[in-house]
Amino acid sequence: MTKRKYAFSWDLIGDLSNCRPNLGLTLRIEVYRLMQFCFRDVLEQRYGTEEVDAIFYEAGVLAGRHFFENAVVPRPENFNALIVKLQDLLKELGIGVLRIEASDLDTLNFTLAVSEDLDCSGLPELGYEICIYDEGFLAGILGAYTGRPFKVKEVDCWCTNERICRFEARPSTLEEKSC
Amino acid sequence: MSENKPQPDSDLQSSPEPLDRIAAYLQTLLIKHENPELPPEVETVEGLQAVAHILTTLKEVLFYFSIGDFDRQFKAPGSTCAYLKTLQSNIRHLAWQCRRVAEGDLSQRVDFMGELSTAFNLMIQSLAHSRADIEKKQRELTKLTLDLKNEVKKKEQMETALRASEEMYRQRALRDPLTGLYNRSYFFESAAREMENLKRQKDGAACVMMIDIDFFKNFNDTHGHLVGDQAIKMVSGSIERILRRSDIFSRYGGEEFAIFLAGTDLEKGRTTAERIRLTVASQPNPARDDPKPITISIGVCGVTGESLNPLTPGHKILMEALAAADAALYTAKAKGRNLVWVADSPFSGPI
Ligand SMILES: [Zn+2]
Repeated sequence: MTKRKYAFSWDLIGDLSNCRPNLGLTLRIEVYRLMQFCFRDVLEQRYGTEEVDAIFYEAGVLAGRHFFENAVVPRPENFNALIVKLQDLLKELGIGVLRIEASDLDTLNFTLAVSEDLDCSGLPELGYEICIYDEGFLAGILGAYTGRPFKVKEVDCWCTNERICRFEARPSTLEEKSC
Repeated sequence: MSENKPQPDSDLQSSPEPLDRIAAYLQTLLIKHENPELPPEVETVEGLQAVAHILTTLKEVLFYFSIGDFDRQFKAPGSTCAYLKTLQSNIRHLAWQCRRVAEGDLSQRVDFMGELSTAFNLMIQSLAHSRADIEKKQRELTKLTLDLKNEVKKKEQMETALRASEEMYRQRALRDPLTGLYNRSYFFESAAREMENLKRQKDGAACVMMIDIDFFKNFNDTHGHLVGDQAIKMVSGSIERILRRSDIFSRYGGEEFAIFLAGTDLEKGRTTAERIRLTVASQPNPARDDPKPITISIGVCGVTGESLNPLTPGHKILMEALAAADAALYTAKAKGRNLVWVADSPFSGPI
């Protein structure tokens, strides 16, 4: 691609200080979901299921990286401080309730749980994990914080009827990095 | 369950109706520790397999929770399992938070766990207060220690200064301000002590010298007091360089000096006196326009330990020895000055 039209920058979030004096900064969750699931539908028809999953994951990574750089400030001094900061931010922004169930700072393996998740809470049972964008989002944040690529996989989801989203995070393997 | 109904495990296979069998199966599942098999006759009842799976999973997970194992992963659909998963997630997160607190991170707060959240958060706040309190007290203690150390240091410095000043005053009281030599009273005190020691040494010996600058009154009248003082300092300095540290050298009066030489027999004392006389006579005259050298006369009195009466006090022996040395000095003056004269000592054997 020679010239990009949609290269993301934080400026695209816009000036939030006075953009909606009457309506404020929040919007209803169904609007967000309407957009996300319609995107999935159209993209899947055009590119296939695997491709749309990859697109959502990658978009999540991009978002997580920008989110860390622009919203997680000042940069947390250590991993524990990062978790505390993320808990506050995710709650404040209504993304979900973040909990960390296990952490190994030597291997950088983490088990994270998100309840009341923005993407999937209340969805019908679908038989598969749906929070692919969230996987990418967490991978992007952890990657930006540690300076090395991360792989995040959702193991429990509302859509598999677990009512809580649980993610396993670890540094990417060489193979994952290359693709 | 009512009493007239059949016991579930014993009658599981023999219950006639499918509904009864299902009820009996569920009772066993919920009451007994072990899990029963789903009776084959009801396996086909719609949804029953799913219910059995959920209940078995719930039972298993609750058992592990009851023994404190919250790490077990489990899969079962629906809200009941989801409640357990949320509880599991909360407890695991709480354990993680407790570890962070143990590491000293008091920013941890628990959410969405009711009374447990409130209690945990209160505990952390109280811990934070205690820690802040301890840190404050530690800072105060450190400051107090530092202040105390400074006080002690100041006190030590003052004591050192006081001792130095005491020593200075003591030295001043012992010494002649012009020459820095011991004064007459110190000489008496310490030389008398030496005489006491000598009494106890049968083969010991000592010498006492009286020294006087020749024609000093004339010199003073001619050249003035300041040059006179310079002459006294020149003489005392020259003598001091010849003597040992153990010798007691004092300014006895105006231009008079007295010396006590311990462990020195009369012959050695006479030789030393001669060296002193020659050294002083070889020094340049502080009065530049006076070509004649300044000279001294010396009277020497020798004392041997064996000649001393143990009953005679040291100061009395000293007085007599000084009188003899003074008489010898007088003879030296009479014999023409710039001379050493040995006394007829009451304390010495044959010369
Ligand atoms: Zn999910």
